Amino acid sequence: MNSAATARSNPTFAQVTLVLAACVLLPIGVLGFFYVVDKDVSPNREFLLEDFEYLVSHADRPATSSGEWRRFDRTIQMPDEPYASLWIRKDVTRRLDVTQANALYIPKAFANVQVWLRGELQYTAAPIEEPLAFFRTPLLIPLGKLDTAAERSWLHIRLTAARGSLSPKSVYLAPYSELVSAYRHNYWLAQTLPKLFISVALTMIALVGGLFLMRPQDTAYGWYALYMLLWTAHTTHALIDYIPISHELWFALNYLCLVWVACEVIFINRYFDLRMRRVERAIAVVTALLAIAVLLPALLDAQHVAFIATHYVWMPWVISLALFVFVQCFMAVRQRWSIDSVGLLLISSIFVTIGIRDHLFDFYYFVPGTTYYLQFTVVIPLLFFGFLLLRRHVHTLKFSEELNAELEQRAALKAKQLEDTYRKLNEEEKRREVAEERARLMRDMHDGLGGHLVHALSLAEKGEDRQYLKEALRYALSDLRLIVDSLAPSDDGFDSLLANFRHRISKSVARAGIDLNWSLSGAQNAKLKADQSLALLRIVQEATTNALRHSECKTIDISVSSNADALIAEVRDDGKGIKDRSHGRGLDNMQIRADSISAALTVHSDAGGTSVRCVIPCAGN
Amino acid sequence: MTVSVFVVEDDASTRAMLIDKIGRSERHAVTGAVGSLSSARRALKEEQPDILLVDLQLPDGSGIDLISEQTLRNPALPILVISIFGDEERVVNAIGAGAQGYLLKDDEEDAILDAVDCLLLGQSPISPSIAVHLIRRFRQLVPNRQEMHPLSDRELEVLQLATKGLSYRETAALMGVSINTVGTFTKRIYTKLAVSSRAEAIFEARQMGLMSDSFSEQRRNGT
Repeated sequence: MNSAATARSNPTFAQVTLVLAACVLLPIGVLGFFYVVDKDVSPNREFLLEDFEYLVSHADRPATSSGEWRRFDRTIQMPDEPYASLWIRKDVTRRLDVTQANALYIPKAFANVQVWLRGELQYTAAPIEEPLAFFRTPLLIPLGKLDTAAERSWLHIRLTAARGSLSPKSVYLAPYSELVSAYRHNYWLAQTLPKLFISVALTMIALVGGLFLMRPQDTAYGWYALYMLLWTAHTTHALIDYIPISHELWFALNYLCLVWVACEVIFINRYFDLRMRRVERAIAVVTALLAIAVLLPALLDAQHVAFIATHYVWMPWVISLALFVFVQCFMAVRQRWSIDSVGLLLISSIFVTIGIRDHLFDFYYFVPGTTYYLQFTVVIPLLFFGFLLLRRHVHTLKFSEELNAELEQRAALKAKQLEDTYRKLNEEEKRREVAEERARLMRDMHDGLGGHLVHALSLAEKGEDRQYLKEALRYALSDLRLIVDSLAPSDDGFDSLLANFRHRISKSVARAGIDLNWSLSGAQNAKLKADQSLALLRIVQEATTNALRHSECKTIDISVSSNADALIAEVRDDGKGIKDRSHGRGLDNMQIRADSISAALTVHSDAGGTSVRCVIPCAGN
Repeated sequence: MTVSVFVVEDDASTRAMLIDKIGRSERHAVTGAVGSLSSARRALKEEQPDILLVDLQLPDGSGIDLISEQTLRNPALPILVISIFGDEERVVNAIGAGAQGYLLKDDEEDAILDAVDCLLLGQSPISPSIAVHLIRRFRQLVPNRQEMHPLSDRELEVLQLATKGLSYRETAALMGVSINTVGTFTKRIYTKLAVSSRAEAIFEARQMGLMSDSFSEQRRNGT
């Protein structure tokens, strides 16, 4: 959840001090700002009506007998009744400007309002009987243009509500034109702006809640959505004038909406991964119990119990939770110095301050201002959290890009390593092949060429006939040629290996006037190992040379064929046959060569000619 | 009429062997035998042999240079490369330079005279190893020059049969032509390699800006 902040370090002492100072100064600044804006909303104080007289009465007309009216001071004892009705009056003779249209302006009635002037009903905000309206919408009541009659002008206002305490917060009387701009400004501030913020909040809730639904493991988002939803419900409550349910229940629910602070505690906990599951559980249990304590009396219509539960238990608890949010954010800042933690700490300090102010505003006259400020404050965490989400999104994108790049780099590295390994293996293999080939060449030269040369040498030493010497040397040369032939690329078929031998022998055969017939069916497919090729070439050469030199033949047939598991080479002549087998070294040589490659050699000879047949096992033709 | 043979061979014993073998024939006469490139150049200014035998490794240079020079001077001069088996690559280089045949020092005695006579008849020898190298060389030449393959189908067939070790007689029988024709085909293949190699060299030189068009034109006309 907080991967965005993992790289941040612990804050220094100076940083913590700075942030704490900001936590004091920033809320004061915000509060000051609100007061300045709020003060602009109020009309000129000279139009404020004060020193009302009051009468607690359910009468539907203003009472005329002056003896029953009492001077209004700030506490009025209301009888314990299902709904309260209060009359207040003031002589406004001197306050009325008869030259133009007058108006009455009540920024917050917190009740239903009926206005009488000179004993005549001027205005009723809503039907005065149930359901009892509860006006938080600013009221601008036009009184019309009055005639100039000099009689005393009494203003009577009747307030009805389902609550015990009734008192007008402030009432202004002035020419209509003096009040209208203040009314409009206040209406904008108290109604339009909160509605706008609620729309933004709902959008944000949909976004974050959707995120949570798609990724339920990110519980912090879920708690944030819930916290914003409850806050929105709480603010919406302040915009509704016609309460659809009983006042007790309505106000109980209103206070219960403050449970958003508990949700915020859990959100902060999850967001910063503070690991306070036990604290979370304890807060959840206490909050639930207290919520029941608030709701139950409201349902049972036990006003006093409800009042005590709400104001002396529930609200302190909520304020404690708000303070706890502040502590949490401070812990988060101590753990990780990041824009998340510092931002949320500052915001929570604003929230605590504004929240306490609003709570006091509800109860005490000395708290200045015309409205609750928390509804405006919410835009700050909204925007901040939007910013955090955006930042996290960008961070995730960057992270995935970096990850991709790193993966690519790693893949490239791995590929290079593989390539290196492969090349090394290849080189190793090549070295081994070269070594093997060299060993084979040594063996081949030793077996054939060496033998022939030693033989030639011994002939020369013995002073034998030049003809024998020459023949021995030719043998050596022929063998050398075969060794060279056998070095041809091994992927060529055996017929390619035979090509040079075939070319050489055909010249000798032609000079001797002998017909040489080749039959190479399937030889091109036969794949022999180098030592097999050489041995076979030697056998074929030996047999052909023997036929050429000694058989006095007319024709030599050389055939090579192959089947699934063997290559068969045969040299056949139509000469006189071999008379004395023990004489020639050739036959023995051929046998030795055949044995060395596990081939079967058959020599058949009679008066009709000689055939030498060699069968070499070789797999996979 | 005797055929005059000029031998360029630095190895004294090989030179002696060649002089001996050719000298035994009544129809042939060795009119000159030298052991170096410079003396060969000098001698060949004076005389015009019927056939030239050239060893490739000479103490003062490559026999291939001599072959190129002599071919330019007299394209009709038959030149044989003196080689040993296993030396096919250099033989093909020499053919590219203008040689029309080769003889193997270690071959049977009469094979040398056969090679000389065949060449004079307009036929060139070929072996499987040389055929393999020739095919490879043509394959290298063709993609660089945006031209048709210089060899005809019949000539290519001759080369392919030669790689299998088939004799002229067998090749001729398979292709339904006379033995002499196969030899002529072979000589034509050698000539085409020489022409292509020269064209290739000029082409490359022009590509590199080493030679102007007019100069290469002169070279081609032999002036």
